[in-house]
Amino acid sequence: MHALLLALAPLLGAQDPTPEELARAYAGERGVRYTATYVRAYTLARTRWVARGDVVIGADGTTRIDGQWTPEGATEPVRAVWYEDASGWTLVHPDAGTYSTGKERLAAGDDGHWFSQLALPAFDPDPYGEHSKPELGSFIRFEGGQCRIVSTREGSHARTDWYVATSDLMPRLAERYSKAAESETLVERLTLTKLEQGEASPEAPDLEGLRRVEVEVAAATAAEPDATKKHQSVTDLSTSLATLRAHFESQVGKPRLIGLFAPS
Amino acid sequence: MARAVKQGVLDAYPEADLSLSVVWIDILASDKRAEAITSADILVDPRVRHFHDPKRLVGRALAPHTGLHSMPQILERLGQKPEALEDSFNATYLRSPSTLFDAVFFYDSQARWIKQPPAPEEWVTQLDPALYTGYDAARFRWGDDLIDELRRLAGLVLAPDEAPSAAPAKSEDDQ
Repeated sequence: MHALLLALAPLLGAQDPTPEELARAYAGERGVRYTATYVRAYTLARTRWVARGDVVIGADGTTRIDGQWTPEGATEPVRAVWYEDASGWTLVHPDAGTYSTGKERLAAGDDGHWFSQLALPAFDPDPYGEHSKPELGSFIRFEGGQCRIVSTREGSHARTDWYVATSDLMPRLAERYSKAAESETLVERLTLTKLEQGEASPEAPDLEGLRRVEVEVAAATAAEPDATKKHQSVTDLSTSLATLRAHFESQVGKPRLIGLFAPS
Repeated sequence: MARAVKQGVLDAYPEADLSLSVVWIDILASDKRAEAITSADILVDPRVRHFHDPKRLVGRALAPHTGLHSMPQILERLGQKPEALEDSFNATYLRSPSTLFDAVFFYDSQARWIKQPPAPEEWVTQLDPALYTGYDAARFRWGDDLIDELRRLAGLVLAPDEAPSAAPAKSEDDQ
């Protein structure tokens, strides 16, 4: 987000903020709390995937999300609390009276996936991605405030429209359109409301009375490459570095190497 | 280079508790996911996890730590047009910002990746400085020298006080 705001600075113009001001405006610099709604839909399919949550991101990056989502085919939403700090994550299912912990977000399966959508970075255009320069759009009233629409593109296959509030340069809405198939578009919409900046300080969830489950640990183990298989598991990085970063962070405490090789 | 990593790191330190992320990055015209899956079989070890980077996101993220010039810069210096190399290289790569490949980054146990990939403690590359410019050419190794250097650098992050000092890189005439 920081990189995006810096890129947007010349376009937003009227306020002419300094890079330092923009840096402070970034959630990770000062802390932020907001209510998020994430909707994922395909233009040709009838299913919609919706998650909602109250998000608190502290100045140190510690994150807590109290949220819910409805799995495809289910009628009742699943409630859960996601808490993540430098030591790893904790996922609490209050309805089931259970919790699980781990080091790698991906190990939390679908729950971990939708939490990652609510925590905004999933919509953050990767500064190393194949984006064109941001394109300045029109001003628009949104949720009672004035926003400027700024579009970023990822090559020819995706576009994200950011509704950036002129008051604080924080996004209020991000709509991403990407080509899912020849004639189908995936639409993702993340709405941020009740956004507050300041010294947000997420509270660790109270685990008393809850039972720890090992499901996610098993999932993490299953995700590791199986040396007995003919082919190794190869994780795709076509949209972001998040998976590699999560793996790197999950291995803190060990010496780590990253090798980059052309496969041919 | 993957085979050199197998010999210089995984085979040289079979009991070491380390983590190796192997990123297969599309650089050549023939590089595809299927090629990455096939090549991943070179490095079969529970300490290894494989990734495929078709848009070269990792290569771009790590390149600033090396100073490596972009392909447009390199081609301009060589008086070449990207079109002339499209049969051999990925067409987008030829027109992209600086993108690292054929390299290994070494991190100690405390390194953190908060927003951007951290700078490595050490790194080594097989990119020929006669063609690829901008980075410290002393990082270049080839053949057995590459295996030796991989072994040395791995030893450095595994047991910093016990690693031998670096051997100077040989010129290409010595290879």
